[in-house]
Amino acid sequence: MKKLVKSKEFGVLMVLVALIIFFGIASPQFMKAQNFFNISKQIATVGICSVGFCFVLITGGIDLSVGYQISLDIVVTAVMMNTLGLNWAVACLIGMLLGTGIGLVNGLIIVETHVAPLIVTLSMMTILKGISYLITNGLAIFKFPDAFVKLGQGTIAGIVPISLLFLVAIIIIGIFILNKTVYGRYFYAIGNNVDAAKLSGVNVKKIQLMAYGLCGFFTSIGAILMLARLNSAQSSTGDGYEFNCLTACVVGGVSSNGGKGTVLGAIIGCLIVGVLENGLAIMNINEYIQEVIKGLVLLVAVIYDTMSLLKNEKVKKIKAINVEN
Amino acid sequence: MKKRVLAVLMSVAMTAALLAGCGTTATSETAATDTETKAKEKTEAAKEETTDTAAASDTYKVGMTFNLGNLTWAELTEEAKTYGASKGMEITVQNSNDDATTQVSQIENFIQSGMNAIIVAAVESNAVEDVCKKAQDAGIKVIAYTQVIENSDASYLVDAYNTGYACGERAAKWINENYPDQEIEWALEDLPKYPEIIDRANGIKEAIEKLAPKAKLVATQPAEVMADGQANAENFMQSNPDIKVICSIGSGGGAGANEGIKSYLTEDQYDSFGIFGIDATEQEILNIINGDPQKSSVSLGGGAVHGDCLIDMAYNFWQKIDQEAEQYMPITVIDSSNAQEYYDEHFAK
Repeated sequence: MKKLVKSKEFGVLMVLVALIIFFGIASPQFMKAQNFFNISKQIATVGICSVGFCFVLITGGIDLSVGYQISLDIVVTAVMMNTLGLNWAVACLIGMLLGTGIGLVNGLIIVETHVAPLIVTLSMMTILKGISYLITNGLAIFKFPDAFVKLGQGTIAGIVPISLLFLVAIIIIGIFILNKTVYGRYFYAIGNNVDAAKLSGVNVKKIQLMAYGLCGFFTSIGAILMLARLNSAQSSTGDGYEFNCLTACVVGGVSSNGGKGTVLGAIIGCLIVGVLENGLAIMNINEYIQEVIKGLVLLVAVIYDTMSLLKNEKVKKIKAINVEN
Repeated sequence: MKKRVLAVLMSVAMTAALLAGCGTTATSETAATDTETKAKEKTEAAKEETTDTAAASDTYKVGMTFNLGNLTWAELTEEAKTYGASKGMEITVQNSNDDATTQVSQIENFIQSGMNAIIVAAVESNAVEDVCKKAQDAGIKVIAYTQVIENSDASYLVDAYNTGYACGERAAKWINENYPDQEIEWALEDLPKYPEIIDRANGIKEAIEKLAPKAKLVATQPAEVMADGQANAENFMQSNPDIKVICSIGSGGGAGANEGIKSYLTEDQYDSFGIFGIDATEQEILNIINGDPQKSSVSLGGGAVHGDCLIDMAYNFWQKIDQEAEQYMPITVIDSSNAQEYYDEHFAK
């Protein structure tokens, strides 16, 4: 219990619990198991993309091209299945390769040219948007094989959404990479102090490249799940998702300056946003009031999290002084 | 050395990309450099219009500014390009990205590049009024699409209330056929951030209120794209499991709700649930043909028809053919009785 209270995610977890309790009291429909599965379906793509986004943020970077990576991944996978008639599994594989490739290109440009990640990925976002619209001419591509659509819409035993399983698997992989591998430690090291990491013998370029590559890879998985859920591909799909991911990560305690944050935190951030949107919709709250409430809750979540972190650090400092004395 | 080589390579790549991108419009670029003179000439030419000027012109340049994220409009612009070319017109399409500032800049650029006509699907009609006035002063014909623009020469408009009413009327008919004399619950997907859409929602509500008075509106949420419609349907069913009807002011909400509801129903229950949309996109029509929960969609002619109509309006200006300043989109309800015919006519390749 003490470990949980002291954990970095405790603050945002409490915000999430408070929201769930509030909506549970306000609407009896909210607390039903089916609704939690709905929320999991609704946040699956953002959740998966946020894991990759979290890696990039921890290394001190940012990837603003995530939204249109989703768009292009979706469109290309859809074209492979519908226009070219490829098997859906092969099409998905190509989509994932494309996503990873885009991530690696982002990383390569950043590490080789030293241009700020914000600028590089912003430019990439525009390029990807253009390519996506060139492919579709703005029109929709739809109706995919049933087996594929089940990835996004199907359930196991009629209850558990398949997309939830993907989300859980990606979270576990993300946590494993960040906490149990040397690369995870390198991500934090680079994000905390890139020069110190370099002097310590960390291959900074390789690790940064890996972070962007992983971000692209996870984004492509999220995109494919979204395509299966919508059963339709449009170039406008994914627009603005980079900010959804950024919001989820920052609310979940991932520092936008790098070096701090966890995958679990990012997912809790995602859940806060998802629960908020779902709960307000179930309560049938007016659209504009929803925006105000969402903004306020996110602000409170960030303030509460930051203050509890500061408090923990203060306690640590006092303890350290006591030990010295 | 490595950096220099990289810099040279990047410069070459950038130049090549620019040349490739701009090569096809080299003539208009040249024209744009001499904009002031051209604009003056244009104004004079416009003022001194005579009956034979149309025949004297070789080509007629039309600029279109639309939000290409909208499926119907993307289809519209594609058709306009093809149809316009067949009539000897040069069509340039710009994506407004749903941003009024971007749109104003695009219209300014159209004026500079010497367009003969500009077709505007205004993001915000008040925001483009001044720049449209400038276009008119330069002798350019301005055609407004969906929204009335004060400084325009012609408009192709949608009767929002009656469009919504047609959707609601079809929904009410379905309710009366399937749940006669029963008190059923229904939900609405609106989009109040667009003022011109509000009347669609009002039309839907008033039609159902009047024609199926026992139906009760229990939930309303906005839907712009499919993902919104899908999440809304899931949330509606969670908060009000007895909902039998969802009406949407657009195709994103309708098609999205169709996918969302399918995860709640088995195939043999599809007939017991009705989704009623507006726009009649290919996806919606296929939903109706396939016997999905979506039962109807209101066609306003479709993107391709609108594209042809707008080009015809521009063509009439070019050829000095008289036309009505305000024209309205046709309103047709597409359901299982005419969906196949509509599909064959509009979408069959």
